[in-house]
Amino acid sequence: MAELLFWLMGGGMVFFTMLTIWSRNPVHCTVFMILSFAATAGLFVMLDAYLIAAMEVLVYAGAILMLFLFVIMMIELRDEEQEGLRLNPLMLVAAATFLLLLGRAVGDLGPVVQSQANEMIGSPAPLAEALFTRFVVPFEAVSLLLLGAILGVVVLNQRSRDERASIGPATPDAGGGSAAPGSGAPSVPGAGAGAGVADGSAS
Amino acid sequence: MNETVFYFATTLGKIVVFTHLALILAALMVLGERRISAVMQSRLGPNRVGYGGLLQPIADALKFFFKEDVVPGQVEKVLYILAPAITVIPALLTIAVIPFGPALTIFGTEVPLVIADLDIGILFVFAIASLGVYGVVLAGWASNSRYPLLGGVRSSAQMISYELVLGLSVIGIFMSTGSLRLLDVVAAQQDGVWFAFSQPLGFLLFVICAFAETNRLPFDTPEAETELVAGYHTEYSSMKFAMFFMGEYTAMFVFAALISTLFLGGWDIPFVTAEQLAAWGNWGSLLGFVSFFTKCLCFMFFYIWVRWTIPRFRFDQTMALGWKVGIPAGVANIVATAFILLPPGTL
Repeated sequence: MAELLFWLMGGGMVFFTMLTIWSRNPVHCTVFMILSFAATAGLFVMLDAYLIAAMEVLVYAGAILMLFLFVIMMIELRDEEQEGLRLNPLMLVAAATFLLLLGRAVGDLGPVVQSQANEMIGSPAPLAEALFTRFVVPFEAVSLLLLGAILGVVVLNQRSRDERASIGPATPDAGGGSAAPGSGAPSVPGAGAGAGVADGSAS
Repeated sequence: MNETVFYFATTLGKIVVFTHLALILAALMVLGERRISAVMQSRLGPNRVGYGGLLQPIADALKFFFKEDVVPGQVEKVLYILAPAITVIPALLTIAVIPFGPALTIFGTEVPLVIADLDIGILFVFAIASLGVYGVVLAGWASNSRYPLLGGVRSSAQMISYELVLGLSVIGIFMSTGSLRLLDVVAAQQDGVWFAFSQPLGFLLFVICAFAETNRLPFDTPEAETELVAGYHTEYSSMKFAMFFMGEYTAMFVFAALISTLFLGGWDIPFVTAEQLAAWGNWGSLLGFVSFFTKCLCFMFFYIWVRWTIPRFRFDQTMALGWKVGIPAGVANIVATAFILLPPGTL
């Protein structure tokens, strides 16, 4: 039973990940990626690591991919063009390196054993204890790093917004300036339009 | 009796009873919504089918089944058909960890009235509930038309924002109980005060999020009729349309049950201790169950009451409330709880 579930979840994970790469439609890619994460969570459940499984679904499948979907829908991405495979020497080197490392990793694993999860990651309390005692410095360092990244985004976005704001008011002036010589009435742009209407009704 | 068979039988029984309870309650709530809103507006509402209109939900369901199921030509077929199911399934799954009452004793064996008593109870609820929004978003996208897409985009933004507040608002509770199990949370409230009183800010935030996460007024911008026709379900008809309603009302029941469990003492009856309730045996369990359901029904009435009283927020107001008020207030609540929980004399 457990073995069947393992192959179902593991196979599902690999299958949906491959579909994520292969499909041409960005929304379909995201949906397959969600399914792949769900299968991963299933694997964690089988190892009794309920906390990690819940986090996988909550953070990755629930929140991050929702953001992906949000962005894809906002900018209205279209289907990717079918380009065909263009071989390039660097790609071959990368693929060869990957296969080499994969082979090495599989070799190091040795025979596959169904192991229980470490007690530490199984439930929330031991994990929290480890995070806030033994690993408190790296944990806080990572949180500071993430805070820095968030603040960086806010600052960068703020500057581009200021630039846009400074360009903003200048544009109508430029438009008015270019329209004025054309209509021959330098003062009010509306006057030219009014004259046009008057001409139309007269003729 | 064989222990495994007994376990499977009771679990199956619980699954069947609780899911049906939720679905029947969802159907009755649609009727309740119409009758109560009618009373609030000095009308009668649907009162023809059955006694006082009690069979109206069945008539509605039959009508939905016999309607023509229109699938517009421009839609993305697979996701369009799956989307209504995606809204219903997570709502039903979350029922698995909600404790409906104290343990029953059947043939000398204790059977807890919760389908799966998980260590990470509340995280499971949040994880599964966060998947529910995909139904709305994918419906908006797969419909391949303007207003549903806008509804879907709004919905995803709103859900992401309020999920954060939702998570922050309950941390105070788990800091005081020291456990994520919902049974422990109920036990803590039986011994002490309800968390609605000891965590008032968390309670307020959670209630606001319950409205936002279920797309109820005043947070129903994803389906704002005046701007978006019907939002994400504009292109849906027949039973698919009804499934969105089922999902929405089941989610409302789940949130009502969560609020009862987390903040209103679960099956706790005021001024009755856990020992007294246990002394009554199975009748005590039944009483607890009734108490839990009464709380759920009260909160569901509150849902309807708010919906027909408060006008809809503008979308930017919704977002501002989530990010600029909800999140800081949630963090403040955590810090305040931490200070209260500090053993005296540490500072």
